Amino acid sequence: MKIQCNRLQRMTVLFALVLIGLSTGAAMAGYLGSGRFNTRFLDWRFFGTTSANGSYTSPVGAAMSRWTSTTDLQFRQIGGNNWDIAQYVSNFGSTGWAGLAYICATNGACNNSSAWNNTFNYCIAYENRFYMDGYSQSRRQAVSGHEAGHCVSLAHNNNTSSIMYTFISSTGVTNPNSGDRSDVNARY
Amino acid sequence: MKHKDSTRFARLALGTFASSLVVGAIATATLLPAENPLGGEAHASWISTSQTIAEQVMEADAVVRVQVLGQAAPRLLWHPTPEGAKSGTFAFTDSAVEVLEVYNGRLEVGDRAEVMQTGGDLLTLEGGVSRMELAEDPLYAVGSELVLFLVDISDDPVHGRKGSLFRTTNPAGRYDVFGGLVSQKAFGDLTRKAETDLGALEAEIELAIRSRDQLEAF
Repeated sequence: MKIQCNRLQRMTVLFALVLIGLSTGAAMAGYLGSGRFNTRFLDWRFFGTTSANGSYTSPVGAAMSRWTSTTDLQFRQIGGNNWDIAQYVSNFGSTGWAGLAYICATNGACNNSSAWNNTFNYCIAYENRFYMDGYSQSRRQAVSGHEAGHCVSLAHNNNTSSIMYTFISSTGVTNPNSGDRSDVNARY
Repeated sequence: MKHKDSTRFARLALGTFASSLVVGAIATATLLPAENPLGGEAHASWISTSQTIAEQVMEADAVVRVQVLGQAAPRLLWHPTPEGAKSGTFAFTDSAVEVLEVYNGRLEVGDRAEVMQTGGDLLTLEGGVSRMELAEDPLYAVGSELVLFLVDISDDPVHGRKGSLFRTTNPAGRYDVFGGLVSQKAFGDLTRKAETDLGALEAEIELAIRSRDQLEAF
């Protein structure tokens, strides 16, 4: 069967494809808001109880290094104050979550849309030992990397190969995938 | 359409679509307004992956409809800030609820229970109040009605106490009830459900409980 298309029909098809492409592309870029740190050079510090240090410093450090080696971000570990991102490992009890990112903006807002849409001042990536003590090192790295992704403005998505997948504890993805990397690089 | 023409048009269409995808993603990344309407989505990493009613029923210790009676002052945990260690706070809030309807579990109608949430109202240095809460599970409003899929955490070493204490399975275990309709915020756009009738939700819960009981009977 031959299909006859005139110029108007072709233009209509192209216009529809542009609309679908624009909206799909927008949906693919997953951010908490329009906010971000004002630099890609970010200092981070590990906080944790003594017993946590030995078993968490390695996966948390690996998670931060992975972002540095695969994106334009430059994470540097420091020991003092004046950090931009804290990786804070503690037992928060049976909360239902393994990790949680807490972003505060320079306007004083924390952990809400006002904070996520302004210049970031600092971010704390909480990791809950109540659940994570039972995790392998690579799953700990996955959660730490996921929370660090939130700290640089990334939101959840439903792609199981992404480090920003909503249920990261179930997949244990440790490497930012191409979508994660391009989202970060587009913003930093 | 001639063969060459159609091939050319297919190439043009494909190129246009691909370009639009890239432009859409970049535009969203760089041109968002100051108050991004896409913002405000979830960012806690939840342990439970239960999303459907059937999954929630399998995981919950109790499934109930409740009314929120009141909230205790939040329990605070200290956390560091860049200005100096241990100067920030992190909160958990326990809400007292009255059980209006029991779909499953050991609670009874008229019982009072405590339900814990991450978040709470914090006093600022200036004397104001700053609310910390999770986007996908905002603090319950006093007086509001909810259908909750609860996990018993009474024995939790950090939050447990002599009485009973619960939390929801995850944000998908919470339905806000208003005017006979129910709605859910869980996991942002990933699983957001349109408002539906409370009766329809109850029917779905009862069906899931019957299915679970039949499975357990085998």
